[in-house]
Amino acid sequence: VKCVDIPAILLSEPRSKACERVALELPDCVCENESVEPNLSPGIVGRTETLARFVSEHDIDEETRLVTPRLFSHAGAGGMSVTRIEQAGVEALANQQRTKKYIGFVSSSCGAVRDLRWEGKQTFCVYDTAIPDNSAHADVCQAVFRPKSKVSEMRRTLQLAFTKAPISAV
Amino acid sequence: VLVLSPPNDERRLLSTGSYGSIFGASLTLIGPSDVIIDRSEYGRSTAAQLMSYFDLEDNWDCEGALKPHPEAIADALRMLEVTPIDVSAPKPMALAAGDVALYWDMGETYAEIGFDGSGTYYAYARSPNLAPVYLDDIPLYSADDQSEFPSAVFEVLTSQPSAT
Repeated sequence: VKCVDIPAILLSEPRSKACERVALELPDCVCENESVEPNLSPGIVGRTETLARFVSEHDIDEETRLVTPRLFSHAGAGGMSVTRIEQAGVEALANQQRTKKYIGFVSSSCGAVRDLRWEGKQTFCVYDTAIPDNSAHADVCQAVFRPKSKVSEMRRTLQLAFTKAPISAV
Repeated sequence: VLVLSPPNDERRLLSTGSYGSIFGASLTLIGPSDVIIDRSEYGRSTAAQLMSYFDLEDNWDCEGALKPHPEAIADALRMLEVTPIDVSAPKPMALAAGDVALYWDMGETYAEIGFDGSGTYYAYARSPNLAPVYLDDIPLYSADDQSEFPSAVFEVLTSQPSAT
């Protein structure tokens, strides 16, 4: 398995185990250092880049209007889709929000996500999984999967690495 | 003894036997299974949201999330049933891989109890002045079919911030 196989792994079934398969086959986030989609991506995701995680209504707490931890659970399943803000540009972000009927996005720096640790081990990898209609697409994938109580903690730390309230790109 | 009749849709979530641990020493259960203890509005919204998870299908969030495991929903409802009213009602979430969780987000104090449909639960809880709690593969039901809210999580949820 090579790094360029990651996009296909993330789309394969069962998708709920895709990031776990990546972590098994290509551990320790080794593929952050090379493009996993060299034909579409502008290059590996830099630490200083800003990642936008788009938010749907079902990922908002009705009372507080803040995002819920659920929004980040895809990092432990089929990959958490994010958009590289500086690569996408304002207009593309707005189009993405309109097309998918998102209510906005929360954001974090790539470095803040990559710096999250559990027992010294990097817990989330960020890959440049560009897709045909969005070259700025990237995926955040969890790198540690046991025990589940620690996974809950990792998801919480990932949530805290992002802003709390979505802002609109439109 | 206060005996009330909640709406029928909630009645099935309630049972006389499971409320002893909720009210602890302050309540003596007196009787037959048709006695229903009023929990006011506690957990009503959470229970309704959990019940709605039964209607979800794969990819319900258009991001590839699996539909919640029905057994996990049932287990979350069971835990809600034995959640002490001393703490605020939890909020539910349907995770991408099909697990269901109850969580309390109070800023620096956070707790989460998750269910994967196996009849066990896992939990993570943290507050500023207590050691973090990690629980895994804890059976939800005892040999006599009773369930208890995890005391370590309760301790975190009811801990007071340190005086500064």
